[in-house]
Amino acid sequence: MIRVRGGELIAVFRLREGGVRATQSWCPHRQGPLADGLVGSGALVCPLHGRTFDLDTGEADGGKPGVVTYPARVRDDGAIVVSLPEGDGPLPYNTDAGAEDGLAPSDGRSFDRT
Amino acid sequence: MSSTNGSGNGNGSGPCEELLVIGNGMAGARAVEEIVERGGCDSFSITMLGDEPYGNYNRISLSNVLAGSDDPRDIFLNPLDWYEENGITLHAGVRARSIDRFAKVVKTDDGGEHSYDKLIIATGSRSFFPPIDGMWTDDGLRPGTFGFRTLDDTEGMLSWAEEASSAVVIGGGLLGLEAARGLLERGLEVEVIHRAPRLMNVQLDEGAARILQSAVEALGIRVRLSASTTRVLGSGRVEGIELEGGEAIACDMVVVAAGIRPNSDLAQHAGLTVERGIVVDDTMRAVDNDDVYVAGECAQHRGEVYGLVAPLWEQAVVLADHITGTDPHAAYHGSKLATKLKVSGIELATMGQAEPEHPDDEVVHFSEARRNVHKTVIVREGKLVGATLLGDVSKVSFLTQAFDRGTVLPEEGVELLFDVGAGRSEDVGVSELDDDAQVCNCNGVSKGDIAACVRGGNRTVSGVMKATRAGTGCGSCKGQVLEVVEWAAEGELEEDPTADYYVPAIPMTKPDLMAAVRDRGLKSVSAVFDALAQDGEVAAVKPALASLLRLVWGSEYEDERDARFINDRVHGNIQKDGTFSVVPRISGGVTKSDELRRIADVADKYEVPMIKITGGQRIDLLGVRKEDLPAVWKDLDMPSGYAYGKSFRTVKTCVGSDFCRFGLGDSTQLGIRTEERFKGLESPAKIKMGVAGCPRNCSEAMVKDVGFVAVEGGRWEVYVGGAAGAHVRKGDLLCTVDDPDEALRICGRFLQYYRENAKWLERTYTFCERIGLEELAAVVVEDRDGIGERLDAAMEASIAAYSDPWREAEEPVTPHQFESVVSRA
Repeated sequence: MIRVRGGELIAVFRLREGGVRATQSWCPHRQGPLADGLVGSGALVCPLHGRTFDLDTGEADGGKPGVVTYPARVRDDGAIVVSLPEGDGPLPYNTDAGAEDGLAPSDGRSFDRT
Repeated sequence: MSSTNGSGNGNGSGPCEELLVIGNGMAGARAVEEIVERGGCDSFSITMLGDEPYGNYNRISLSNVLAGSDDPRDIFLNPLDWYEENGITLHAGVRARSIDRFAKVVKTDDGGEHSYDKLIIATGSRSFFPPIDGMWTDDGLRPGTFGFRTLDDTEGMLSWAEEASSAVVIGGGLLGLEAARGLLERGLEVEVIHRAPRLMNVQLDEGAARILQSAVEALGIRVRLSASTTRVLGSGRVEGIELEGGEAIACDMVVVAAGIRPNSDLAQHAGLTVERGIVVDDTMRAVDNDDVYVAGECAQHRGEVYGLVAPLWEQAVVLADHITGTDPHAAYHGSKLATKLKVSGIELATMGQAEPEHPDDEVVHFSEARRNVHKTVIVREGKLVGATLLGDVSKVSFLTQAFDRGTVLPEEGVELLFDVGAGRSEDVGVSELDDDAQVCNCNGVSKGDIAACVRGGNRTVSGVMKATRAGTGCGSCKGQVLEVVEWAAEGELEEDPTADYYVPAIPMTKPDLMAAVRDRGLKSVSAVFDALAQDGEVAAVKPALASLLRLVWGSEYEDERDARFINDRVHGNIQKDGTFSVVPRISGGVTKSDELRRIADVADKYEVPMIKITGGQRIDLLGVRKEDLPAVWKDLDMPSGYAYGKSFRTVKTCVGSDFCRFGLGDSTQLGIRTEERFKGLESPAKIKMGVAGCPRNCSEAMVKDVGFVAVEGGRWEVYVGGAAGAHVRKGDLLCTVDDPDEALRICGRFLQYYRENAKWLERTYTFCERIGLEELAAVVVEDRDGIGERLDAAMEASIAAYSDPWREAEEPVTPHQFESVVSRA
């Protein structure tokens, strides 16, 4: 699932065993939509090429660039709360290219069609 | 004359069955050894009758005994103590005279009578003595004339050779050449007389035989070819032989090595079916009598009578498994003959055919007479059917493996004979590859990376794959990864028990896992993880388990959406930008104008960026947004083409007899029927089919997972295991059927067998190679194991459970199923 804050996207996951996790929305590899990935036992698998991330730490298998994670929890009333960094700059974001923040995925992509 | 008495009554309590073995040679003794190993002493009281007055010895070593390199006392495989230690009663030097199958009694030439519950006949062969005048006297063979089969023969030859000066060997096959070599070592002059125009004419072709001949002659043995012996000369002792045409050759010793004949008289007189040998079925039992087993050179199995030792070992194992009940389903399927030996000091390896037999057989040939090297390889339809290596046997392991497994061979014939250096880049041997050559493109893993991983301690293929990610992307480099790992491990590769597991997370093979799922009523992926996984859920294997559960439970499967890969959650193929491809079903590649109109309208309405015709003969709408999918499906009003899942995909067709002037069969009709029948079927990997209306094969049916090709007479050929993607393989001809209904039935059966036994993501081209065409034909076509009906029923159940997933447009399964994850609100 994806939530929006100020136009940006993050991916939020509800685990089968209970609890929620949140990560950056695009895979560092080729910007695959992580919210469409497979989740199980604390791991997240990107749907495009299968890079696998630990949902707690954001680290990827094989030492490849991982994802930024955000603390998330379920409130008593059932709402999901994700803690984002303070300020209103762009959300931090990992890519294989090395830049750590601000690389908006819309560069060169085709879904600005709304 | 001697008999050794064992304890006679077995070691266990309870009544024992009487097992009587006629024949104490290599086959009989080995069979008994295998039976003893399986606890046979507890259930059988074993008695053996041996014509020769010894324990069992290695008959092959007789050549060495003759040559003096082995001592007769060293060649015994089962000395007399062995029988005693194992409680086996041996009557050595006793010959069986008759078998009464009904009273179950065997009479012997010493007046004895032996009753039995189970009988093993392992009477082997005898030397064949051609009808030659003068060979026999009233007392037996003329003094100085010998066969070459038994230890007694050999010892006779040795003592005679002490006084003799020249010998003639009748027969230039393997045995004759070995006899000649032995006698040469004893200081005799030797001449080999052979009827055929070349030596070892059964195993060797012209070129190899000529090289062998020069090597033999170089040793000092004279060779006479195309020569037939008509008389043995001499009134008392042997004085010479006479050839057809009148020429006489003087000698004082004659060895007859003109072939062997199975000893089947005993069985024939007992009323058993005997053709060239005693006819047996796959359990090594005589076809007329369940209590009678046969093994060794006297047995005829599927038309073959073997004169080599390797089949004996295989037969003995099956016989023992069956007779002791260790494995009532044990079956012998015949042996592929590969031999490696030294003849006159030259290494020789042969397997299968010696010469091309079929008009399409291809021969690759290398000869270097100066070095006594000759290599021939015979290939039929890309598979090795024969090989002869003389003088240089370095490729023998590679070829034996290819021969045994029926694997596909390299393109370049020369690579079959030699280790070729840097040729075309794809065919370069692993050792010649640079360290930084990229082996896995998906994950960017070089040969050096893999080698380093192995040297760092990783000794299993799956371990290396996991650590380096090599082969875990698209998987098309797996074969090469395996080669590099094997090369880097330098033969110390560890057997990987997880290699046979259906998924690594659960330590069970697919059949075991399916049984566990059924027995314990596990109907959802989470249930399977809870019950069977040691470390809990593993995300990546969920789709594999979901597939297996759907296979087992059909419509009773408890779907968990989080166990599905995205493509199966939204029924479209995810593209690089997060949009999807939509491919409606167009069965058999045949459509109608109103369908085309609807497709065109949908493309316009939803501003689909690309409309493309696919290789599977249908139309793909690319770039559809996830949130538009349900509406797109509704407007199309066509069922899903299942272009995305691990399932049955398409059936390509050619025009066929509807319109084509060459059409022999109605390929479009059969194609449509097939696609309609198997559409959407769950499977371990995608299944693509083709139907061709004639052997011109315009629809490429021979490189599909299953293909039908129409031939004369309204019949259809069924091919399996073909591929034309990352891997190219021509399908194997499984069978030819009389009508389309039969084709569909066989196809269904094959597909079900594949679904139940293939590993996750194992395409049919790998599956068919792994199982082997013979086995597939036996199980699927001939229904050897009697599972045909069950397979048919299971397939029907799966077909009945089919539903079009695009109907979820009406009622999404989960609330946000089609919510966009890529667009901005």
